[in-house]
Amino acid sequence: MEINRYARLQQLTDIGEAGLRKLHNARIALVGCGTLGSLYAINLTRMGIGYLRLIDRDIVEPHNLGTQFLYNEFDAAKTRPKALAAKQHLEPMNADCHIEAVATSISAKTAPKYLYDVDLIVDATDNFDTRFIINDLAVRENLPWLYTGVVGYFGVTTLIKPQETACLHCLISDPPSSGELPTCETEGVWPPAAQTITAFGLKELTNFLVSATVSGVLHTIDFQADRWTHVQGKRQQNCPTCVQRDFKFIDGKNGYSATSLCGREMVHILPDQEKAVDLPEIAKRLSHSFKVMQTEDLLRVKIPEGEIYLFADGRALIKGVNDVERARSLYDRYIGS
Amino acid sequence: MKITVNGTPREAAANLALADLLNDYKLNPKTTLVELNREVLDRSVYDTTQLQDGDTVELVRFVGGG
Repeated sequence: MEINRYARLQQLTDIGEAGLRKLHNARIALVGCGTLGSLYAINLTRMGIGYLRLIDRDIVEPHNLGTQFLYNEFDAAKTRPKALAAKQHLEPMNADCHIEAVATSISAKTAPKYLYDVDLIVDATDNFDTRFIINDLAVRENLPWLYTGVVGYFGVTTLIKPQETACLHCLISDPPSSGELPTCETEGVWPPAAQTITAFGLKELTNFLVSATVSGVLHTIDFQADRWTHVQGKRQQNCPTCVQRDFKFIDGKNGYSATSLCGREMVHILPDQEKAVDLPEIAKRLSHSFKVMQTEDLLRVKIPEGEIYLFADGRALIKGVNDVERARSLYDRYIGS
Repeated sequence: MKITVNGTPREAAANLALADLLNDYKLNPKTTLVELNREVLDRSVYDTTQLQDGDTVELVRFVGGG
């Protein structure tokens, strides 16, 4: 690590050379590489985090380009998986930062595999189902994690340190069902709200990595009400997760799970086992009846119901449907189970 | 009576139930954290809490987008 390149960070009162070294020794898993994830990834890379694992299940599409600062038109044209495109763009920003890209979704099954060997998990996902999985895993393994959410002009963030601060399940009584809360798809997202809330998140993250301090504060920013707040969180006395240690979101779950990507007319299918599928073989079979396009990362199949994006690990995004059962049946029909 | 909600003073019916206040702001109790006079409430008292004249309430909502 060449200290000189971080001179302006080193001069900051709370960082210094010792702080820089701590950042360089830190390992972070970033879940979600969308609007929030782009901002976190760029900041973490440039500040010299030593190891960054990027996890995202989605592909780059044209409608991402207005708010997701990591990607460009070439990525969208090639429908690149976000994690892989992100790694490619981040690497030239800082060779000190070792970046690993994982194009998959965090589930009860994959969370223990990708989220255990890090100092901190940064959540930049777009749904509470995944966040409750992260929370279960983090509390069980005693890992700190940074929650951040943004919708419209509003953002909220807090650093959760199990047994010290409130956990997600103390703060929210259960994952809201889909459609219960506004999403970026229904209310949009104003990038400066995301930028502001990630600034608070990054301050909490830096304080933790450099000084091992955690505030337990929930930061909110609301550009419509022209207001920000800082509320001291509190653990719930009988929290099912961090007090009773019932990890129902990761225990005893396995899936060939299907989740609807909020308001997108797209469903994500994750097979029970990671299974390598033979993309060229499937392309050959389906090309007799459908328009098939193979890119370096995935297979695109135009079906009458919409479009299937199939990855080499058996995952798929089914575009054109919202209903998960229907998506499962399309997967079984065209790809096979 | 007068209370302050998210920084804005407003009139409220005497002994307004917290549940009714949340409903007023279309906030789901499951995904809202309530701070009453600078103290976060335990979720178990949401249903039984009534507001008093001069109370300051902060309603923190959680959002899922990213």
